This record gives sequence, C-alpha cells and structure tokens, in this order.
Amino acid sequence: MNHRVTATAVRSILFPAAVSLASIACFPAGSGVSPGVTTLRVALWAGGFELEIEQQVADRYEALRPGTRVLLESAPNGYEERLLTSIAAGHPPDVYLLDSPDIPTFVDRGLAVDLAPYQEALGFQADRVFPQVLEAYRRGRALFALPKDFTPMVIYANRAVLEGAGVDRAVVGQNGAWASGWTWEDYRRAARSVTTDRDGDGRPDVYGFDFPRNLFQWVPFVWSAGGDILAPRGDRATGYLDGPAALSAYAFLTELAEEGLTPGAQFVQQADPAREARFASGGQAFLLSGHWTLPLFHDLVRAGALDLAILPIPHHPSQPGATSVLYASGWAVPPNAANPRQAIDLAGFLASPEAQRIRARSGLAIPTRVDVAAEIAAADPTGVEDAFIALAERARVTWGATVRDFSRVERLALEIMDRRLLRGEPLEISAAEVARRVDEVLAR
Amino acid sequence: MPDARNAARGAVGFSRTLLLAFACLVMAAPFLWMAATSLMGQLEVFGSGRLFPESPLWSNYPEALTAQPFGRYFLNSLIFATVVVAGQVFTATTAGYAFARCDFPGRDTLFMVFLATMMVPAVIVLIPRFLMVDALGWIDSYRGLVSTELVSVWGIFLMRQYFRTLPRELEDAARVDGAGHWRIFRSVALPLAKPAVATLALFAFIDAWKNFMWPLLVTRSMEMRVVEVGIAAFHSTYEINWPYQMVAGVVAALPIALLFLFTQRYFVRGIQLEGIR
Amino acid sequence: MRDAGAARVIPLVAAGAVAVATALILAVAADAPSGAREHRTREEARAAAALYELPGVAEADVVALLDGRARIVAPEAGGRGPGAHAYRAGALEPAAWIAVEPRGEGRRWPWAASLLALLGVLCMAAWAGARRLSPPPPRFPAAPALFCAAVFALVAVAAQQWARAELEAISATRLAGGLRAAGIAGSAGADPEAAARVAGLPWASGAALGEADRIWTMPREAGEAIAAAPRLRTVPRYTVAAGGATYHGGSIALGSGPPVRAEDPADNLHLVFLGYEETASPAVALIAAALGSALLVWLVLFLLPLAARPRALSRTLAAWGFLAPAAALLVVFTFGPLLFSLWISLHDWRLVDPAHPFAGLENYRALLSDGAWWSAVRNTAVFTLHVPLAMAVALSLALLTRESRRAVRWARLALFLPSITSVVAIAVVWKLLLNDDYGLANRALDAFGLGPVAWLSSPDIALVSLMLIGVWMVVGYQMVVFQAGLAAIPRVWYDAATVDGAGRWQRFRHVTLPGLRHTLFFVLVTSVIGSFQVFGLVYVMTEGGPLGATDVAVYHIYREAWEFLRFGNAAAMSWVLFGVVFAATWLHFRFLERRRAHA
Repeated sequence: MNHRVTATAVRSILFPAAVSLASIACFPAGSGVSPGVTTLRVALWAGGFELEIEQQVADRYEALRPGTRVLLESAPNGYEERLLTSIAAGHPPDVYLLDSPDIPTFVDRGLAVDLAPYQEALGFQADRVFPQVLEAYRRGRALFALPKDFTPMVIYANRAVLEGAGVDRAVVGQNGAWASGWTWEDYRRAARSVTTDRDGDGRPDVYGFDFPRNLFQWVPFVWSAGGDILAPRGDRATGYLDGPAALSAYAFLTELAEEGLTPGAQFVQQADPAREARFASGGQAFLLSGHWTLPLFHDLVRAGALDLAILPIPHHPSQPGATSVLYASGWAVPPNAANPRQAIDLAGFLASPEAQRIRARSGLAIPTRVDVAAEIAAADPTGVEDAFIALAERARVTWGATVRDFSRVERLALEIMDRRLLRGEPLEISAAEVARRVDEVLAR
Repeated sequence: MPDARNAARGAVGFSRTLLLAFACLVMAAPFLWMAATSLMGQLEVFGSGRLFPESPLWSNYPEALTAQPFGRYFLNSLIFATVVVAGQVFTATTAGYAFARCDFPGRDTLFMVFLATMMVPAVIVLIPRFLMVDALGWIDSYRGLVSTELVSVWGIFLMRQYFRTLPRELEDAARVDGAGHWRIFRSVALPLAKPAVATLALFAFIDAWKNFMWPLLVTRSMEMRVVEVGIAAFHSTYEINWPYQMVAGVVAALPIALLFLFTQRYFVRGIQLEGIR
Repeated sequence: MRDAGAARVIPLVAAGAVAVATALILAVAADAPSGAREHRTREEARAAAALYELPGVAEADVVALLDGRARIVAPEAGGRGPGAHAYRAGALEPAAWIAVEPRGEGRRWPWAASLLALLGVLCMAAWAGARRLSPPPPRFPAAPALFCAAVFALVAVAAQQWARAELEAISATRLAGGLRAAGIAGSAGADPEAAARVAGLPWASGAALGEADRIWTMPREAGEAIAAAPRLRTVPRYTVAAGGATYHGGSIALGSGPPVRAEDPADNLHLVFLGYEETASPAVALIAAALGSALLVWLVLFLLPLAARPRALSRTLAAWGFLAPAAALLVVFTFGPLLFSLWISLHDWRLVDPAHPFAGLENYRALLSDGAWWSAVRNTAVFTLHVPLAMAVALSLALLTRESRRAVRWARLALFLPSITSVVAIAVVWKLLLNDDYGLANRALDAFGLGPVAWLSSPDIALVSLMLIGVWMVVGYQMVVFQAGLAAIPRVWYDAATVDGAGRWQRFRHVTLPGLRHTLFFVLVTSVIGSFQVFGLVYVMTEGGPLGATDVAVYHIYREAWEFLRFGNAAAMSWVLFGVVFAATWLHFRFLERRRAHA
C-alpha cells in the first residue's frame, strides 16, 4: 500500500475538519451583545424591497432611542414556524407581526400583551385608526396589537381589454365604481364578451378572470349575496356555508368556470403564478386581489401601458351593494418578551404615523391611520388609492380574526366547488357535507 | 469479420450517444428554462408561456444579488456545508466501518436502530431539537447550526455497504502484518473507499447547502443567514419575485455544480486493484 | 481463558453504575421544584410591581403583600437578584425596582425515593459480591438487568410523586399570592380587570363565567368547568380539572368592605393558575434519566460476560471506538428528540399552550378512524412505486456515462442538474410545463394530435405526474451512487469474463449486477425510505390537491403540526408512518440481504 496516498486521504479528512472547527471558534455568534445596548428583536415577514423599507423604519427608531438596536428577523417563508418555536422555547421576539387570521391563535392563548393601558404613553390615537381594522385586534377594552396596515380584496380591471371587447369605457366608470351598479350579471356579461379565441387554436387567448378557488378569495361573493359562511357567533356552519346565499355564489362561480371563462390549472393550490402577468399583458380582464399586487403594476401604469380600474366585488342582483373581505396586520408584544416596556415602546413607534409614512413607500397595503392613508391617496393622481379606501369602508374583517382553527375551515371549504368542478357532484350535497365537518371543527 | 463488427460497434456507440443526448436534454431542460426565466422581467415571466426572454435582462443578476447581503449568506452556507461534510465524513466512515467490518455482539440490531432514525419524519424532531439547541444557548451561532447535522445515518449506511463490497483479503493481509483496527481502517479501507467518500461528501454538501427549515429556525440575524433562507425571502405570502428567485436559484446551484465537477473523477475512476492478487 | 482481574472488578463497577444512575434520577427530580420556586419569586416580584403601579396603593401595601420580603429602591439599583421594575400608570420608564428575598424554604430532597434507590444499590452490590464466587454465565445476564430496570422505574415513579407534591405546594402559594394581590388592588378601588392584571393570572368575573365568548381571559375549558359546578363559585379556594389539566382556582369579592357578598357569586373575581405540577413536571426528564441509566447499566452488564473473553472484549471495544462519534451525536440530537416526540404523541400537545394534558393512546386511536390520514398513507405508498422506474433509469444512465471523456463529464453534470436545483424555484417551472392550457407538455402532445392531459388538475393523474417529477428529481442522486458502486468493481473481473467469451449482456448479468449488489440494495432501501418521506415536492407543487389526491403522509403531518398546531396528533402520525416504513425496510433486509454471509 502506498503510504503517501494514505496520508493524503487522512489529511483530506482531518484538514477540513480542523479548518472548520477553527472557523467555528473564530466567528462570533451573529447577534453579538455589546454592553449598554439593548437589542430588540422584531419578527415580520417582509421580503425584498419591503424589508429595505422596514429597515429604514428601524433605523429611524434607533436614531430616536440611542442605546437601542433593532434586529429585524424577517421570514417571508416559514414565519409561523419560526415565531411559534421561539415562543415555545421561551425566547420570543420583542415585537411580532400579527396577521388578522392568526389573532385567535395568539390572543386566546395569551401570547399578546394588552396594549390598551399604554395608548396614552405611546401617543397612539385609536380614533384616528380605521375602526373596522382596530376592532379586529380588540377584545372588550383590551387591545392586543397596534394595527400596521390592511387591504380589502378588490377586482382589478384591465380597461383596454374590456374596451377591446366592446364594453363601454363609461360603463367601467371611475375607480371604485361600476357606472350602473355592478352585479354578477354585469360581471358574467363582461367576462363572456372578453373571452375570445383570436388565433383559432381552439383555446381562448383572453380570459375573463381566474377562478377564485380559496375561501379567502370567494368569501366576499357569499357576503355580496346577502349571506354568510358561519352563524353570527361563528360557532356553526350548517345553514350558512350551505345556505342559499352561499349556494348561489358557488353556482355563479362554478358556472363561469364551466363556461370556459377561466384559464386552466386553477386547481393547483397556490395561486396560478402567471395570473398577474396574464392580466398585465391583456390576457385576462379581471383580477381578484388585494392592495399587495399594486406595486407590481406600478411601472406599467406610469408608462401608460396598463389602464387600470379598481372595482368593488360584484354583488348579487338582489342586493344593493357588495361587502368585501379585509385582511390586516398589527404589531404585538409577547408577554414574556425580554424587554417588555421597550418592546411596547417599539411597537408604538412601528404603528406611528411617522413609521406608516415611511412604510407607505412600499405601496403594498393601506396605512391604518386614516390621516396617513388620506395623505397617500391625495398624492396619487390615478385615484387608485382613493378607490381602495372607499372600498375598504364597505369591507369586513375575515372570520379568521375571531374563529379559532379557521385555517381548518378554509382547508375544508376548498372541497365544495372542487367536487363540483372535478367530479360533477351537486353543490348542495358537497356544501352540506363540508358544513357538517366544519361544525365538528368549530365544536371543539 | 472486423468490418461488420466495427459497424455494429459504431451503431451501438451512436445510439448510445443519441440516447445520452436525449436524456441530458430532458433532465436539464427545466433547469435551462429556469435560467432563461432569470433573465425576464417580473411580468414577462410566464406570460402565455414564453420560453426565452425577449431581451435578456442581465441587470436582474446584480439587482437580485445586492437586494440582500448574499456575500455573507454564501460565506455562511459555505462554512455550514464544509463543517457538515467534514463531520459526516468522519462519523460515517468510522461507524460504517464498524458495522461492515467489526464483529461485535448486537451489531445488526444496532444498525437497524440507527437506520430506524431515518424513518421518522424530520418535521417531528424539529421542535425537540430546537428546544435543545435553545437550551444550550446556541441559537444564532454556527455551533447551533451545525451540531445537529454532523452525523448522517444515510452516510453510515452508504459506507457500510461500500466497505462490504471491498474484498476482505486486503485487510487480512494487513492483519497478518500486525496492523490494528485503526491502522487497517486508515491505511487500507479508507483509501479504497474514495468513491464512496466522494459521494458522501457531495451529498452531505448538497443537503447542507439546500437545508432551509433548520437554518431558518436557529438563526436570527442577517449575519448568520444562509443562501437558501435568502432565496426564500423572495417568496413571501403575498408577493413573489420570480426572476429574482430564479437568479438566486441559478447562482446557488453553481457551487454544487463546481463541487460535482471536481468530485466526479473520484467516484467514476475505478480503484486499481490489479496490483493486489 | 479468563481474565481474573477484570472479572473481579466488573461486578463492583456494575453496582457503582447503578448507584450513579439512581443518583442521576434523584438529582433530576430534586431540580424541578427549585425552578418553579425561582419562577414563583419572579412572579411575586412582578405582582408587587404591578400593585405599585396602581393609583391609591401605598408603598406599605406593596411590602406587606410579600410579608416584608420586598424592598423598594431606585430603578437604577435593579438587576441584581430577583425582583422587577415597577412603573407608574401606563408609563414606559421604570419608577422603582422592587427587590424580593426568596422564601426561606431551602433546597429539599426526595428522601423516600432515595431510600428506595439505596436499597436497590445494596441489592445490586450483594448480587455482585455473590457473583464473584460462582463462575460467570456465558450469556447476557437477564435477571440483574430486569432488576435494575425495576429499580429505576420505582425510583423514577417515587421521585415523580415527590416532585408533584412539592410543585403542588408551590402552586398553592402562588395562587394564594395572586389572590392576595388582587384583593389588595380591589380594596384600593381597582376594577376586576386591573386587579386581575396585578395578580398576573388568567381570570374571569363571576358574571362572565359560563358564557364561552366572554371568558377569553381565562382558558375556556377552565371557565366552563367552574361555571358547571355552582358550589365552586362560592368557595374561596378550589382546584378544577378542565381540558385534561388541573387548575388551581380561587375567588374573591372585590370592594372596600369585607368579603361578605360571597352569596352573590356574580360579583366575585375568579382567578385560575395552571399549576407548576402541570408546567414544570420533571416527567420527561425523569423518563429520559431512567432510560439513560438503564442504558448505562445495560452497557456495563453487557461487557460483563465479555470480560471473560479478552479477544472478543477488545474487538467490541474497538468497534465501539469506531462507533462512538456517530453514536454520541445520534443519542443527543436524534434519539433524545425522537423519545420526546414519542412522549408528545401521548399528549394533547400544542406547542404554545402551557398545558399538555396526558392523552394516552387517544391520538393513535383517533388516527384509526381518520380517513384522510389513511388516504395520505395510501398515496405515499403509491408514490413509492416510482422507485423501481427511477432505479432502472439511473442505472442505465450510470452505465451510459461510465467513460471519462470530456463530453461525458459534462453530460453527467447535465443529468445531475435536477439534484442541485432549489425545489421551490424548479417547482414553478414544472407547474408551467404541466399547465393545462398553455404548458409545454400539452403543446407537445397537441403537435402529435393528442388531447390535452390535465397533469396537475385531475385527481386521477396528479399523483402520477408527481411520480414522474419524482423520478426526474431522484435519478441524479441514484446515478451518482451507482457510479461509485461501479467504480468498486475490479476491472480484472471484466477482463476475466471477456476472456471467457462473455458478451455485453452476459458481462452485465454476471459481473456488473453481482458487483453492484450492495449498492443496489442501498439505493433501493434509501430511496424507498426517502420516498415515504416525500414532502417538498408536494408542498410546492400541489399542496396535497386536487381533492386530496396528492396528500402524502409527511405533508399531512406537516399541516397537522404547523397549520393546525396539533403536535400530539402529528407525532402519533409520525410514529405510525415510522411503523409502516420500518416494516417495509425490515422486509427488504429480511429477503434481499440474505446472501450477506457469503460476501
């Protein structure tokens, strides 16, 4: 045996091991603690340019409070996993972002401090906040998070596509309104007239819209038919999830899909990755989404390549108007935060008008302060921001903000329309069956 | 008839080449499309299924790579992966050798016990491991990052199988010369196991490099983040920047591709056993 | 050949090991109450600080709350020893530091359990002494092993009993302290909510009890249990069992006067405390300590018969030397967590809930009737069928790329690309390739005049599509392992076969395949195990849809754990899945690795 080969082999193992161990020893742990500096950890889910803007907010706070370092622990993916494990281990972040559908998970388990007693010290003006958003984070007099921002679900309309299909520009109307009311029939008619096969390959090149498969997307259709998915106290689904209003909404949406007005692959759970691109390039007339999609279209709108209208959810002909759904997020402080009072102070700053103004540059959502939102809207010549604010007034917060285990309800509700579209089952049967299973979840 | 034979061999060789080319195309196509997508604009991506960008947006690369401190992430990933490779090669070669070549009571039972740990979903050990590393105070440090990853039962299994493939005669010869276990392991078995060690090192590196959930949980600060977590940051709940994600995907694959090109000569070149026997 | 020296020492070592092991168990048990005591002191300090914060409370009241164990000093003096910052009404800057002397209870010791342990050690020592006189049995000594196990179990149970009683007493004083603090706050004119905040305990007013949506300040189950027992509502102190946990509860009447209005329970303020015996129970640590002890003693006893055969002993020790690094890391970072997850599977465990009541086999029983879970297991089993196909493809590719020409080297990289790409990024490419309307796959089919296939949106086809992608993803890995295996086949075998006149196929059949036997087995077993764990692919491609057609076991577990936070169920599912995979692997070993002896 050649001994030099052996020696090389051994060295090739031992050398990297030694180097790596040495490197472990030399590199300090990431969040090095320097004396006299308090590090406040903030958990959030900002990614990309949004995180850069949040960092500007954090920098501003550091300038205001010398001796404080703000560590943004952003996890756009795996946020809940990260947050919950750190809470379970007893080392939660000092401030965390609380999504409206997660409110019961955190608040009912006592994982958020009541911030109401500190409103005055923080200069938090509750009467300047959109009331429907603030209510989501209240329980009685207690306030469990300071609202950050929010958005209603709206319909984005591509005016050029609609006009090309012969829908009069005057009918599409101004942002925030469809000229002569805006019912399901109008929606159906518009979707039908845009869906065309121009190159004659047997498939449409332009579609009406993409199928809203998830509950968070279709729940406003049920509300806009005058019904609801759960009983007023959120403890029962039978009679609601399978009630007449809900059934009419399912029937309306599935008919549109069966008529071929929506592109395929709608059953892939996560949103069709091509939907925004299709909408922007004129391949789709309507897009159901929240404010977060707006920055994506910003450049196109500015360049005049995309003529955008923000419309309410269409409503059932028997109803006077639509009710959309609203999603919000807020800054909460866990009870076992390492620095509770400084954490509360930071949460107050993160929700302050100053922070909201900096954050509004990202354009992802509507600031929760009425005055800041109005400022942003005033600076926007397209009227899009105004439309969002107007539509938010007619929206209500998701059921997830009050019902425990709502994620399970959402998961189950997926089946209702899927079973119709994939297996041809009658909607009454699948809805009743799902409602019964939802009742079981709610009873627990 | 040498002519007919040559022709047949030529035909076989040609069909082999053709087959290989086709396989390469099928296997590489999605990756190539991904690379093409990385040069598109955010709204150009997937619009009516276009394959190649109208005009390549090379600026995606510098923009995506400076959107986050990827330099630091790469360094962290490199440190993480290197330590994991070193650790796994050490633990797997020694343990694999014991299971393949040492004779001790309860060996096969113990091996099944080791193997059993591969069969429990990793999701479920995540929390206990996290609580443990947190209790040790190793959160947000390299120690916390690597300590749970230093041993791989897959690697032990690989080395065990490989050591069993090797003819025993070699070791017997060394034993006759009076060599002890450690000497035999170090100077006979290990050098012969180079292909397997290279394989193990390659996959240990890939696993560490692509690990997402564990680094996400145990690191806090930007200074400790790894590449995979950085890539995921382009993919938030509400907003997904596909071109940037593809850029990061392509760039993150490069170190592994380089490693692959470097290691493949070890697991392809046969061991020269002719000298013995 | 007997080594008399070793045989004489080892029985003593065995007895010593038992002593060390039991001491470990006792120390673990004794440690738990001290943690709870520390926590209580901190909570007392916090309550005193909250009381200080209330308008109308005199400093004397704050000191009186803790029987004079508190001192109020300037805020800068804080930080040393137990205590808490006190703030004035909603302020963010501290007004004072309340330093608290811990209660003078001292450290206690589980004497009864210790006595048991001592007895056990003595018995073991006696056995060891007796054994020195008689010749050693040839096999592993079962009787002493069983005896040790029994001793550990008994000591652990006794220690747990003791710790529970200790923790219960600490819980009781904690609740009493909370009630007192709330009482003082009440007599200073605070409303129920403010008084409860001072106590720092979950609370509900008597009037709100029983109304599920008004008792969110107290665990709903506890509130409902108190409301259901009218007698409790007038009793000052009680314990309630609710939701599988035991709460220490109590009620006080708020108001300036003496608590004479207890007959009108609506005015009472109820506080509950999930006792330390639920939250700080050393049960897990004790089980771990007992198992660790058993392992230690088992090891010693195991070496005992070997001591008579020095060759075997040295071989075993050498083997363990080789195993030590891997084994140590596995024990700490894998076996420990696995045992913990087994423990979780026996509880109603929800990560962030402080209480995780014992559920026995309930989680497993619930699985039996859970159709969605079994359909996920079935889908996983079906998915695993892609492994043979992938292996055939991978082996062909490995053989095709056996040469080391430059072009082949690059071809190998091309084939390996799927293995090095980020799953998240590549998944979206696949989604678009397989899109019903405009995906490349369907456009290609269209060119041949074939109808569109609903690759991912049909419940009948989606799983097959995922299997094909699974093949694509795993082939590179298998190919590399095969190549390493091929490299180990000595070239002389091929030369010999060629000399014997073997053709291409015969060489493959009689040289390559037998030479690859161990590698094939390895790839098969690891791929099957890996495919039972498939998760990422489903997570990013289909999220289990459409209609649950691609819901696989690990994805199901992931959702149960992280989406619904039911870790008890998720752990039970993991262990059921483990059983399935273990059975499959064992069959592989049983039937495919038989010829091992002739290797």
